[in-house]
Formats: sequence, C-alpha cells, structure tokens
Amino acid sequence: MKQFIYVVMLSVFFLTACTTSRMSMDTLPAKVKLDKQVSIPNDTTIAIYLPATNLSNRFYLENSGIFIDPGLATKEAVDKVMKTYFTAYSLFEPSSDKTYGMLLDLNPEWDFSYGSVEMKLSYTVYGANRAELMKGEKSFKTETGSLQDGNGFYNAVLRSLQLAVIDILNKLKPNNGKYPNMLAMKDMAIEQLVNKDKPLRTGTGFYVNSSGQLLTAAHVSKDCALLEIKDGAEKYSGTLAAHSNILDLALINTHHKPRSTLPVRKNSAVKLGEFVSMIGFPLQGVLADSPNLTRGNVSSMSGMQGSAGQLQFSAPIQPGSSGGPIVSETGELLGVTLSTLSTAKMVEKGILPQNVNFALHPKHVEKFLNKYHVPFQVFSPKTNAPPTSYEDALPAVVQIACYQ
Amino acid sequence: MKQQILALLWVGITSTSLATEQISNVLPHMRFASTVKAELIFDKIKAMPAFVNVSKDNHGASLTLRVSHGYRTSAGGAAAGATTGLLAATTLGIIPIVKSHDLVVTYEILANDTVIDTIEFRKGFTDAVNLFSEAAQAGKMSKDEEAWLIGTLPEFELAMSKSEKVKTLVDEYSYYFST
Repeated sequence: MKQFIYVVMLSVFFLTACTTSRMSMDTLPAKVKLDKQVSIPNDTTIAIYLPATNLSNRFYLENSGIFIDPGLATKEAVDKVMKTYFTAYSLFEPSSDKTYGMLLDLNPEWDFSYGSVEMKLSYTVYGANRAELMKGEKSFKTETGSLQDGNGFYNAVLRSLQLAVIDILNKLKPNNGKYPNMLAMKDMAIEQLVNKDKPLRTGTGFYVNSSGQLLTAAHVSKDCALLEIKDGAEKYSGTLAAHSNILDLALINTHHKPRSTLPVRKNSAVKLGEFVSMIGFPLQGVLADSPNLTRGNVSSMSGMQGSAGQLQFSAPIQPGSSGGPIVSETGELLGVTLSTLSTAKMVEKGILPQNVNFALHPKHVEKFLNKYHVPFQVFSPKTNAPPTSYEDALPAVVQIACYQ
Repeated sequence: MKQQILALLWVGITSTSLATEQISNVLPHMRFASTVKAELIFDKIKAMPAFVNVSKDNHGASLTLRVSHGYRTSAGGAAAGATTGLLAATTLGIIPIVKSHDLVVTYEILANDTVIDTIEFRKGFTDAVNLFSEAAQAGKMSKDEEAWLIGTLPEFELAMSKSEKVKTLVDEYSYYFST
C-alpha cells in the first residue's frame, strides 16, 4: 500500500512539475493592489524601451533537441500587461517620429535555478521632458514548467512587469493631461536608456576613409542601441550606415577624423601562404585596452564547406577580434576577421583544431564598399617590397562596444 | 546531375515566365538544420527546385534553412492533461493521459544567424497516451503529427517562392558572388 502511495505521489509530482499554465493577471499577490484613484486602461501614451535581445532571445537545447523561446514569451507578456493597463503603448524605436508622454525603460535579467526561472526587472520612468520620474526593481520567480511552451518565462515577465506597472500607476497617477503625448522617440537620447554598466559585446573595426567611415563584422553591430568607438583615450559614438548579413560586414559612420586609414590591396590579389597580421581588441575586460597584433599566414583560399567569399588564416584570434583587419606585410587590407572553427565542437569529435580562422576576402569588401558608394584607397605593393612596421595600420584600428 | 534534372523537370511543368521567375529564386548553398527528424523532411525539401543547394554538410554556408518544432500548451490542454494525469497516476497508468496541445512548426531562412524570413504553422492535436510510454515522457511526435508536418511542406515552398525578403536575399547573394 505504501509503495502504491509513493508511486501515485511521485507521478502527481512529475505531472504537476511538467505542467505550467499561463498566469491570469486578475490574482495579485497579497498587499498588492491598484489605487482606486487610478483608472485603467490609463490614457497616458507610454513607450517601452526593452533591449532588442530580450525580444529575440531564442536558444537551442542540444540535449533535448528543442528550441527555447524566452523572447517570444517576453513579447507576449509585455503586450498583455501593457494592453491591460494602458490604452496606447508602443515599443521605443530610436529613430521614430512617434511621440509619447511617458517612457518606461526596462532592464530585464533572467536568473535560472533548477526547475525555476526568475525575472529581475529594474526600470526607470521618464517624462516627455526627458526627466526621470521614478525608478524601481521588481522580481518574480516561478516554476519553469515545460520549457517548450515557454509558460514559465511568460509568467515571470508578466508578473514582474505587472508589479512594476502597478507601482508606477500608484505613485505617479498618470493621465494624458499630466503627461501629455509630446516627445518624439528620436528626440530622446538613447545614451540615457541603455545599460552602460557593461557592453552586450565588443569587437574591432577599422577606418577605410578620412571621413570617419569604418568597417566591422555585422555580428558585432547587430541589435546595438548604441555603438561606442574607443580610439585610444577617446570615446565617441557611431551609427550603423549599412550592413550585409550574407557577408557579415557592417559600415559604421562616425564624425571622427581618423588618425589613419587602411587601403585595400589592388585587385584583391591575396596569395596562398603569404604572411599576415591580425589587429584587434580581444578579451575586453581581461586584456588592457591596447590593440593586439598576432602573426600568421593565409592558410587556405576558401573557408568551410559551403562558405563563399572567405579565406582561412592562422594568426590567432580571440573573442573581440571580430571585425578586425587582416593586414599584409606591406600594410594593405587582406580581409576582415569573421569567425574561428569552434574548438569545443571539434573536441567533441576528437579533433583539436589550432588557429583555423576565417576572414572575408577583400574582393567582397570592395564590392560592399562600391555598393554603398563608400570611398576607399587601393594600394599596389611593389614586388619584393620590404615589410612595413604596421605604424600606419595600427592607428586605423579601433575598439567597438555595443550597448543595449 | 540530380539537381539539373530536377531543375529541368520544374521548367518542363511550369509556364516559361513562371519557370524563369522560379529559377532566378534558386537559393544558394544553404545549411540544413532541423529539430524535426531529418529523414522525415530533408529529401522532400531537397527535391524542391528552390532548395536544391541545401545540404546538411554546408557548415560554412552563410545561409541556413532552419526547421524547428515545438509544443504549446493551451490553458484547457494543461487542465485536461493535469486532470487525466492524476487519474492515470492513481490508476498506475491504466487510464491514459489525454494530451491536448498545439504543434508548431517553423521554417526560417537565416543569413549568418539573422532571420530573414519565417513561416509558422500551428495545429491542435489531442492524443491519449499511456503514462509510461515514450510519447508521454518525451513529447515525441505521433504519426498524425508527422503526417501533418509533411503536409506543410508545399505551403512552405509556396510562401518562400513568393517572399520578397528571400528574393532580395538571393539578389544580394548574386551581386556578391556571381562572376
């Protein structure tokens, strides 16, 4: 009989642990309630700044063979809460003419422990005069449930945001008259909204002309609300001007007069085996913020199977090197650093790869620059020219930090 | 050779103008990635004229065709599952669990991890499964679900052939890589 009860209890536990439904917004935790003076849906026009990766967050669980989609759950939960409490809301777009009366800047962080998920949501509210109205933090921990349906993620966002919104409504008692819909999104400084404590990622870029246009890998500049360029002791912002997801290449405009620029080799004539240097700013936060220069050679004129427009080189690279230039002995651009062969994946297959790195061939860099009418220099080295000291190449290379 | 034959067959069974439009939309080398059993769909996708260049071994390709599937539980489905689950537990599995959920299959074209276009299909399924069966534990696809998933392939092909985003992608690819 005891065994029977144990089996039943275990089965019930298993079933309940695996099933999590989406929460209703009607039942609030004890002591939490909306002030009677506040009417909902509230007529204040509200905008929400949410880091782009929080909405696109999707990852693959290799062991289970399934995709987990916290981004979709976040999007749905935010929509549910905002449509319940406000008549009009929109997601903040930095270049939009759309106006708002109140701006809710969200900085969400996930925390995972066995079987549960927690959303830690810090927030700041701004008025249409750009002034900070209030800030706070809410969190909510719940069972993960079935990872596939994402209900655990949905519930964590739903409840933490609901608690934050209730706090805002109770404290500010907003309405369209008190916070008129008058500031265009494009007029709000994005620097005020992004989390500057830590960049989302860092990479490397290099100037191609004296107008301050630089190239980097597209995956470095992807989804960045703010691109900060670090050139020695100087810091300034850049804007994404063009990009190609196919090439993994991006053009960034700055208003900076560069100390040097990199020319592309004439006819993009890369030779198999020729010596190259890779210049980059790897391992941000670990190494000093000075450029790293590593040496190697062009080890293959093609990349991995199925790739197009890539070459392989052996100069060592690290995270943060992406977008950095591959430079010839005579100082011309021979490629843009894109990726490396995954050591972890290859080790699983019993292979330990060494310095198998990939760069975009300069022929395609030229095509990209021509497509967007970007001026650049072409340089033809003399045969048997003596190696240069990279004095011209080094100052053309900068560090790029991406913030959200 | 197989690719050429398929392309020729396609030309033969369509009008000239349509054939020209379709051929111009033949996608370049793509990596195939799927959470669905490859043997269920890979050959069928590979047989589509637009996707003749899809390969599981194109690890370096900048383009990817990703097919993923997942289950979404509705509130009603969760309640039914929990209730029948309790009954199944108390009867040590004699009474089956009634599982009611939506199966979602998503086809995506990606360029270096950026989703270019996507099409999603969703259908509700209700199955009675034994508490201790593999299907109950691991959420394996039933035969009906597999058949439905295969049935979404023609719609996926049609959607992609009409996709302006995919056409722009192919044009950009041609700009960079045509000789």
